[in-house]
Amino acid sequence: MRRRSLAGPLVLILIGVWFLMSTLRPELPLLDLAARFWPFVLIGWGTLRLLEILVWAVRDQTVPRCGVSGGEWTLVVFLCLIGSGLAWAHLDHPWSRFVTGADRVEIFGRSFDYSIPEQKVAAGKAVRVLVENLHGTVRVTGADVQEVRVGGRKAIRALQDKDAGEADRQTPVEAAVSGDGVVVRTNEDRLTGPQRITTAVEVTVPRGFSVQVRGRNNDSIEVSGVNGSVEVGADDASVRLENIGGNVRLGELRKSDLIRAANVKGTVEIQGGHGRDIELDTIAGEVTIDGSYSGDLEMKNLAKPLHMQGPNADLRVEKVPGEIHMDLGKFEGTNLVGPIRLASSRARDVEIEKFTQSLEVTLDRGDIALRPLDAPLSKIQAHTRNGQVEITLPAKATFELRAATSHGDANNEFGDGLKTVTDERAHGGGSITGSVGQGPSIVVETDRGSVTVRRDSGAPLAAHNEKPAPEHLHPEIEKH
Amino acid sequence: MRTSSGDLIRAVRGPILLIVLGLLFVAEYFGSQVPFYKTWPVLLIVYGVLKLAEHLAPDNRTPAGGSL
Repeated sequence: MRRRSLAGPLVLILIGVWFLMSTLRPELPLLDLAARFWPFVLIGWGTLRLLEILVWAVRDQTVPRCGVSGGEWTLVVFLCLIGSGLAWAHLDHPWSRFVTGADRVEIFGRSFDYSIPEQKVAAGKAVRVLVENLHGTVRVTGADVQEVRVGGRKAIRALQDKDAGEADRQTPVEAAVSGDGVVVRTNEDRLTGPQRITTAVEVTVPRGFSVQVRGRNNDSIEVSGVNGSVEVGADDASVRLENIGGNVRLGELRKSDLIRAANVKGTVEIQGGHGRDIELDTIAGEVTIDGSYSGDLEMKNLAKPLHMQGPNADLRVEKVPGEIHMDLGKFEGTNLVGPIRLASSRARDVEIEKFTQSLEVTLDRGDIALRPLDAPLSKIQAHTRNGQVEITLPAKATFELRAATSHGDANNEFGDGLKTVTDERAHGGGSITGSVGQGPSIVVETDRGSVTVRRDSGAPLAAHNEKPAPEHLHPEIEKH
Repeated sequence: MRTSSGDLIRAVRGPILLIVLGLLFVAEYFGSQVPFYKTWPVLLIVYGVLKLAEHLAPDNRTPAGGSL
């Protein structure tokens, strides 16, 4: 009778245990262990087989013609291929010359965590801090201290812990006085290997300091509680600023997912970038935004003029005691002080209520809904090429109105005193004109769409905008 | 029935090659870190030595037509 070897079942058990451990204890570095120790499976397998054959021979039992069968050799070849592949990916050995290090680290590496030893630099005559961190996060906090404190953590992605340790040694976080400032550097540019470093650097500075942060690809840059100015420059970073006493300048921030500034006593200047969301809350100084932002823009409580300029829109508001919310398709403003000027070349619906002083809105496409605050009114001009226009006027206001549409209905819901003229021809337009007392000029026009003039009943603007059935919105389009 | 020395050497040839193969990979990953692409000829040498031993071993099998 042919004797069966124990090697096959034992190898199966070993593989089963390995997979079981990888599911039950995923935190164990099982891939690393397999990558390093797989050749011992070959040695154990061969030794077991050898002992079996010798025992059978000593006992005068039949020994197999081949100690390792053809099928087993096939399995050995597969084992060698898989094991070598794992080792190639996980271990630093001569085969690594065939691939670029950075890609291997990115795909197969692990993250190793190091803490940055806390450093204290006496502020002396310094009045500002410069933080240079190419990758990772920066948090600068103003506090009642007399020195600059630096700490944080460093995450190093590498294939092995010794590589990560070497990268940590090459890139010490340094803080030193230079001129009238303290310079904090993470020194990632000194790294010679393929490891990837992200540093979360935390800096505490005296409250009176100005802050300058330079990064490249940073997850987040946060500054809070400083009375000086703040300047941030990075290729890509989210920026959060809070309780800033001086001016804020994001002049070299090329890309950002979020810019948030709250409670800034100086001006805010955001220039030249593109990104997604902007949130500004309680800004005492002038706000200038020049760039392309595709997400949600929210601005509240701006005490000085706001000027926003982008590829598709130009907005100027004298003050924003209330709030503005805009995205690519909508502009909503409540409680604004003019002169307000909004020009948009892309499709955008505009809703502005409780505004004072003059207003000028020019749209290419989109609906306009306006409700000025109670009398006295100022000059209002609104024009859209394609969309409906609604204006809700205070009951006691005085004005000289011209509301006109070239193709659409003219709806006078204001009441007596205004004259409605309707063109009875197909696709004709209409107009509502008239004067109530001696007041400023109000001109609202659309080339295609209905125009509606309402008397303010106190209901929120949104209630007026419950849209009728689509055929009433753009009758000329439906008829075609 | 007694196993001849040649049969025994032939039977252990596979396990010994397996062990040597494992040792060569261990040599790559540990200690001297000599890469496998430099040491693989050792397998040929071991195989050759075992084949040689198999030929040189005295044949004490039962003659053909025996109890096999």
